[in-house]
Amino acid sequence: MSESTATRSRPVEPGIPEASGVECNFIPGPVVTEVPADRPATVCAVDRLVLRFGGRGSPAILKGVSLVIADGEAVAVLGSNGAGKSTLLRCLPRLLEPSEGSVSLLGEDVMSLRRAGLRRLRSRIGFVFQRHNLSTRLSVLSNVIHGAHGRAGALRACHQALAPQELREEAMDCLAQVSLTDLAGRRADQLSGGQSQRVAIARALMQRPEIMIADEPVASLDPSSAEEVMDLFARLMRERGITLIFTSHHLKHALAYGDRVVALKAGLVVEDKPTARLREQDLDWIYDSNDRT
Amino acid sequence: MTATTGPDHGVPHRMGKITPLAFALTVGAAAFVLVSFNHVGLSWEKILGGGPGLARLVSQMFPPDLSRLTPVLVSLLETFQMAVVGTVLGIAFSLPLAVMASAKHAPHPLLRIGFRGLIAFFRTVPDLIWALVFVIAVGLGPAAGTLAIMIDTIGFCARFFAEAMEEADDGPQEALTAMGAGRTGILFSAVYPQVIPSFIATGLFALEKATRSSVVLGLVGAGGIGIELKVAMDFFSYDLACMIIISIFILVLMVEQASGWLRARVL
Ligand SMILES: Nc1ncnc2c1ncn2[C@@H]1O[C@H](COP(=O)(O)OP(=O)(O)O)[C@@H](O)[C@H]1O
Ligand SMILES: [Mg+2]
Repeated sequence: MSESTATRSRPVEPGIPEASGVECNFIPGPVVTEVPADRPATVCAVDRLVLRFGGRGSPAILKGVSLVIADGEAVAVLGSNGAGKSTLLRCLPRLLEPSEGSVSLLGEDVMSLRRAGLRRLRSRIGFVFQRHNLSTRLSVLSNVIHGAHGRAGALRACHQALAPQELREEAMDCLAQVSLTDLAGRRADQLSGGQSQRVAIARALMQRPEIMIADEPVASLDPSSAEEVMDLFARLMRERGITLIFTSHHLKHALAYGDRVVALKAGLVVEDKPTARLREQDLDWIYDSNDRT
Repeated sequence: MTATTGPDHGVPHRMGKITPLAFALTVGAAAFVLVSFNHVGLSWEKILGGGPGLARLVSQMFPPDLSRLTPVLVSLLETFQMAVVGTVLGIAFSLPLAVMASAKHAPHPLLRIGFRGLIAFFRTVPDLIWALVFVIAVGLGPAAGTLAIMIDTIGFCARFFAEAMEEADDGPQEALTAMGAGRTGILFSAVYPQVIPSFIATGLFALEKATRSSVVLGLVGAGGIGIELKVAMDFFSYDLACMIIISIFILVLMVEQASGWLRARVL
C-alpha cells in the first residue's frame, strides 16, 4: 500500500492550471476553478485523528481516523456501540480536544484556532445531538433564537423577549421549516420527543449553517417519528445544499439518507464507500454479532 | 463460633469491623460529651430551681403591654426592611460570586479555590460578629445590620447557587458551546434558566434566615427591633418585651409561610 502511493506521481499543479479549453474565460490572469472562490470544495478534512480520554498511557478511542468530505455531501458514519462515532463528531468542532492529528473545517485549521476564532467557526456549524439538549424551561422561540448566539451576542440571543424583531422573525421562519410555528410560545418541556428534536433542528437552521453534524439525531424517538424527523432533516439539508455528517446505528437510515457511508470499528475507519455501491448485507460485518442494535 | 458449615457463607459480622483509630475516636468523642455535661454546670437543681423564676417572668409578661404597639410595629417594619435589602444585595453579589466558585464555570481553578474560601469565610463568621464589625465601620443603625445580613446571605446563597450550577444538565450547555456561544451566552441561555427555581428557593430561605437574624442584630446596635427588646428587658418591662416577642414571632411566621408558599409554586 505504501509502495503504490510512493510510486504514483501526484498530479500537483503549482499555481496556474493548464489551459484545457474547457474553462473558457475572457478575463486573463487569475486561476479559474469550478468551485466558487468563497467556499472550498472540501469542507471537512480529518487527518490521522487520535483521541484518548486520559493521558498518554490510556487507550485511544480514535486510533488515527482520516476522512475527507466534499461540499454538499451527506455522509453517514456507521458503527456499533462504542465504535467512537460520537467521539469523532465531537472532535470536529473541538467539543472534545483531539490528542493527535488535524481537523480542517470550512478551510480553517480547527486545531490552531483560538477562543474567538473557534467560536466563530462553531457558529457556522450546526450540531444536533441524540438528546434535544434544549433549555427546557424556556419557550420554543427562545430556544430557536439561541441559534443566533454566534452572530448576535449573548444578550440579544439568550431570550426571545430581548431579541430584536428580525431575529424573532427569522426564528419563526426556521420554525416554519419544521412546521412548528404554532408551538413557538410553548415551553420546551411540554413537547413530544419528535417535536423537541424538530426544535433542535430549527435552532441549528437559525445558525445559517454551512455544515450540519448530527449524532444519532433520531435514536431516541419511536420508529414512526424517527422516520418522519429524519426525512425532514435530510430533505432540509439537501434542499439547502448543506453538508451533512450524521451517525446512525440504523443501516437503513445510513443507506437512505447518506450519499456515502463511513464505517468505524474500534476507532478506525474500516469502510468508506458511496451508498450507491453498497447493499445492507455488505455492511453486516461492521457489527459484531452480539452488539448490533 | 465453631460453625461446622464453614466460614465461606460470607454472613457479615453483626457489628462490622472497627479499626483501632475509629474505636479511639469514638471513645474520645463520648468522653468529650460527658466532660462537657459536667462543665456547663447543668443540674436538676438548677433546672427545677429556675422554674419559679420563669413562672414569675411569664406572669409579669402577661397581659402583654399593647400601649406601645404602633412604635413597635414601625420598628418591626424597619427590621424586616433590613432583612429584605440585605437579602437582595446578598443575592445580587452571590450571582457573580457563584459563577466564580462553580467548578464547571469558573474561568480558572485557582479563582475558584479563592472564591470558595471567601464564601466559606462569610458563612462561618456568625452574623452577630459581622454586625459588630459593621457597627464599627459604618456606625450604629440599620445600615450596619443590613450589611451584616448581606454578607451572611452571600455566605449562604453563593454556595448553594454554585452547587446548583454545577449540577445543571450538561446537554444544553454543550449545545450552546457547539453553536459558538461564549461563556456569558451559555450562562444566560443554558445554565440560569435551569437553575432559577433552585435559586429562588434558596433566596427565599435566605430571606427567612435574614428575618430571624435581623431581629437580634439590634442587640449589638445594628438597627432593628432587637434594641427595643433589650431595653424592655433591661428596664424589667416584661409585658412590653412580651408584646415585642409576639410581634417578632408573627413576622417570622408570616415570612416563613409566604416563602414556603412561593417555593412550592416555583419548584
Ligand atoms: N467522556 C468519556 N470518558 C471516557 N471514555 C469515554 C467517554 N466518552 C466515551 N468514552 C468511550 O469511548 C468509546 C467510544 O464512545 P462513543 O464515541 O460514544 O461511541 P459510539 O457513539 O460509537 O457509540 C466508548 O468505549 C466509550 O466508553
Ligand atoms: Mg454515540
